[in-house]
Amino acid sequence: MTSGLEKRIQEVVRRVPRARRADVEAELRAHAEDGLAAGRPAEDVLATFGDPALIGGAIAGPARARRVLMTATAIPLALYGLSAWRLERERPQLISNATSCTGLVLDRLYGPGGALTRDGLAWYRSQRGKGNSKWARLWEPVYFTFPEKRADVEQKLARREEDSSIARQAIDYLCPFER
Amino acid sequence: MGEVNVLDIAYYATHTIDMRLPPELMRGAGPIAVLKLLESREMYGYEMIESLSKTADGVLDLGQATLYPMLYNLEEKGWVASKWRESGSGRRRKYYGLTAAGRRELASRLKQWRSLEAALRELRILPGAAS
Repeated sequence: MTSGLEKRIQEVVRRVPRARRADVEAELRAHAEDGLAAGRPAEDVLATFGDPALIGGAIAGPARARRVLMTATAIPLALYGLSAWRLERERPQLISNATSCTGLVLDRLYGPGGALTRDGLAWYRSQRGKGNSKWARLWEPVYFTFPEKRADVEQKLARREEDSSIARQAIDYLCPFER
Repeated sequence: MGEVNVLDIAYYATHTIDMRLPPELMRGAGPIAVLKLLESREMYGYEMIESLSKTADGVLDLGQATLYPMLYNLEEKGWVASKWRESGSGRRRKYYGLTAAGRRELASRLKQWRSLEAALRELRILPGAAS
């Protein structure tokens, strides 16, 4: 086996998925040895390899496409799972020491940790026009990936900023005299 | 005798007639050619390339850059199976053979190609009228 052939085999094998390298290398080596044993010049055998990137890419092709597909599926699934976890983790119960109507409304919407309460989630759902079916619940993590934080609502209220957030709609509706 | 055109000579000297199929046709014909080769017996890669290059003026000539990815693809689909074996010369080679699924696939593809052949005859692209 000439160094040129050896080098070409390695160039091809380098582009093949790790798990298949040994097998592909052995087969290409056997192929080259068959060519040399049949009396073909080394340059001739070398030429039949073509472009190492092409043959390596063609061998790796289906596995690479599968990997890309799996990644493309896994990432949205992981994001969905993360969002569902964020939404569902310790949805707090209502504890309120509020003395104002606005505080009371915010306490109903958000728990002590700032996560939406059950009431808050129900309000968000109703404002988005969502139903309560299984499908609607399945889509919830996509709708509510980042529900508005209580602190953001409070800051906007303190700055007397106009906004049309879902929490603000609840406050404006329930506490018209305070706004 | 007509005048010899130097440009014609230059043209034929530089353009060897290549009967190999273009890639888009080879994508259809290559797998069925390989499956057909393996129908009668198990073969290794080099042997398949040699057999195909001797067939029909090398029309189905496959380089190893085409054959091996094709073989791995056919194997992934379960139409061929491979095993390493020592040949008579003592050299280890990877032999490919048809699986039951491969035989079914070959039969189905042969049927499709025969329909295509009949259509091409009817259009007089191939010689001989379709009965």
